[in-house]
Amino acid sequence: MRNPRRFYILVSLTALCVVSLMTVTLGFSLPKWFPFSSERSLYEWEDKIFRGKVIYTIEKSGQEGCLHALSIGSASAIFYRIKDRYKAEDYPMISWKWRVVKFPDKEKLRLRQGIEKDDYAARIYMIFPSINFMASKALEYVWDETVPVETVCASPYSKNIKLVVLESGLGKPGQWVAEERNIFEDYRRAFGINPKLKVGAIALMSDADNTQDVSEAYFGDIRIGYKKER
Amino acid sequence: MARQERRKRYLIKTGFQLRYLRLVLIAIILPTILFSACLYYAIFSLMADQLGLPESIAYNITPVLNKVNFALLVGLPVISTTLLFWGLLISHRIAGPIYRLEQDLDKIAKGDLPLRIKLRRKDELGSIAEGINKVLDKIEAKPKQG
Repeated sequence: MRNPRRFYILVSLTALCVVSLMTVTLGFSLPKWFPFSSERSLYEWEDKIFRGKVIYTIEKSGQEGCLHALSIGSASAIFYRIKDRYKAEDYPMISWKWRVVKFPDKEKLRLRQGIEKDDYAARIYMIFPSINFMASKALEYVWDETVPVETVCASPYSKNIKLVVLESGLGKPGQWVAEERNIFEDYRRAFGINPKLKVGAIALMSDADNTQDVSEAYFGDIRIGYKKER
Repeated sequence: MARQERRKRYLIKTGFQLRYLRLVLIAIILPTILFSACLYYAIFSLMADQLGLPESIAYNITPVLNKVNFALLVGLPVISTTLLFWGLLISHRIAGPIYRLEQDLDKIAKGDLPLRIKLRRKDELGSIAEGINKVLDKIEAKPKQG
């Protein structure tokens, strides 16, 4: 090249473009894995308080760890905002492990209905936010003491929130239960239509605010945004 | 004291008055929509974003939003009707005198020089009628001087 200065400018601009492209591409990658192995694991998670604060702590055993949730008459979640929202249809899978130690005692609310019975020892939310927040949708995977497995129902708070009961009762005490769900299929089953909104947040909660009792659960590492390996 | 004639029709110059009322209606609706959109976006979206949890949003914001919507649903028609009626009255106070001026000037042009334009106390364009009456007074006074 006759003009070396022009050559250097061209190389610099090309390098800048490549770096920018890599930054955009690698900024958020799927699948996303949420390990609960150290206190730093919760840095990116926000506390979302509904009624009182649930205590979320990381419990470590060796190299591995898990999230411990203890609700004493309270309801608050930890919430992770997905910056680059993705289509559930493209990356439908989510997997995690969980374990319930104590269910909120719903017996004393036996005669009550609606939101007063909406306490679950463990829940995982997949949230589909909309610019019009009234149109946002949420799919909740819950572990209940009595409601049969695979029950799908609307939340007493809003028809835009659907609950899918994945586990019922204590199961084998002290044992972890692994879950893997296709959120696209579950959404279709719960709402009757394909999701139009993208997955924008994930949240975990254990609550006992309505029963004013105690609920306690553990959550293992979570993996979202991947396709089922055949 | 001359008895003022009471106009029974509120739509005298229909085209002009309807255009005026349309403008009033637009002046009510457009700012309301813009303001509501900004309010919804600024307050509710911010709150929804902060609350995060779907149940929390449904429990905390939805009832407030329903009340706001109800207030708008009830208040907006009442306010709009009141303002439209007010606009009709104001347009009537302009359209009435224009109609009166047109009618009287037509009669004057046909030779009824002693006629004077009389408008109601609250009507607009009173100064124009007064000016025309003064001109007519001078025109009537001229032959007497000759």
